[in-house]
Amino acid sequence: MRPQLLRLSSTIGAAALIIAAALVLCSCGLDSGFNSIADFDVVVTIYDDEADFGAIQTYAMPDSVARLGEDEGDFDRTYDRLILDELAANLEAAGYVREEDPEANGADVVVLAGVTSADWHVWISYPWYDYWGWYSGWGYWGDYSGYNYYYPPCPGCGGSYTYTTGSLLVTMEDRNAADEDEETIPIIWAAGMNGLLEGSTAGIGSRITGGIEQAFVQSPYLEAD
Amino acid sequence: MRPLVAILLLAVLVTAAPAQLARDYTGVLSYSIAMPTGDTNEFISNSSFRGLEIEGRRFIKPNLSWSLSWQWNTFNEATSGTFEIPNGHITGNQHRILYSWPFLAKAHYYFGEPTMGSKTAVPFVGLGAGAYWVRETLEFGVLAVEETNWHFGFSPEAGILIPTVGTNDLVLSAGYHYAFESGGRGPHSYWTIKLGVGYSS
Repeated sequence: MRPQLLRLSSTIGAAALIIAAALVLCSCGLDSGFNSIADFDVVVTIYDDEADFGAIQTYAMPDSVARLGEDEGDFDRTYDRLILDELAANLEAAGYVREEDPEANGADVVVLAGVTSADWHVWISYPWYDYWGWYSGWGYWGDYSGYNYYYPPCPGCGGSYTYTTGSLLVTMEDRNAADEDEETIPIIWAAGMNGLLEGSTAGIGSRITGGIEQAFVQSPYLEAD
Repeated sequence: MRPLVAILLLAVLVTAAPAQLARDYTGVLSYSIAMPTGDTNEFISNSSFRGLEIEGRRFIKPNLSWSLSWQWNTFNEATSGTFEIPNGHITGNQHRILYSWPFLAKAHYYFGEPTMGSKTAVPFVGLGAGAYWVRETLEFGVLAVEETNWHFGFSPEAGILIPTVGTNDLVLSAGYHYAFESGGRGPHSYWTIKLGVGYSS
């Protein structure tokens, strides 16, 4: 009996050790190697494939970055200037000219920038007036305060995007194409930079700059004829 | 791998040699390495070193057995870049994970009789078919998308069964897994190399 017991116990022991080794191998965390907050930055751009971006010559942009959410959140306005300057530089590089007096002259498109002060669920449409209603430039187009923005048709995208707190959202909307029956204003291009203003202050500036530049790099159709 | 091999050798060496006997059942526990191919390779190109198979073989003839098996292979890969989405693009770091759990019924044919206590290694070929549970996870920054589907699939394999001493075996084999498209995902496919220890009665 002794050799049989020895054989059985040795086999069971070997099997148990193999199971233990395999379970350790299988269950330990799958390390992506992404550790810093910047490793989790994501830049998303969507566009209306029926828009003629080459025909755009001028744009208007309010001189402020809206706080999208229920309150101002924890974000001060340290980076607002940087965001607006970086957007202006990239739009200029695309060949678009900024209209400094849109109230009198209008513009082909309006570019709006906002930072989420809470997790922000963007559905197909959302009200804009709460955030940019104060902008004097709207006077050229008339009173669209009851209108909603709506994003480009995006088959397969689902019903909404969710941006975490500290995300930078930039939209390019075609106010000249407002639908008076549906009371909607189309967004022809949008960029979302998820979580860009989260984390320590160190590096936020370069992440903003890099994120905005990437949004334009992956949108080569933004170019005036 | 070195401790695993030492454990297997230890299990073989500490046992005494009985007379040669025909076997009815053989249980095999294997460590499995997997190399993705096809669509699976496009999703994750890294080989998997996290794998396990538990299999019970019933001998219906001295050189023929059928078996039930459960396997587990986990693939993962970190990558980054710009990817196309409907009407747009997305840039960032991605972590891709794929779990594959085949539940298979198999048959094996042995080129010889793998009797217990024999000193002769016996090659075999086998074919399995059954259900594959596959979960694919795509983590994009702080966002994640997960898809889980059941697939029908099959798996041919070839290997060698080495009766060591007593009722113990070493089982070395290589196989291929193919799970047909399901739920808009796949087909999934990968090669495996397995090193296992067996116990027979």
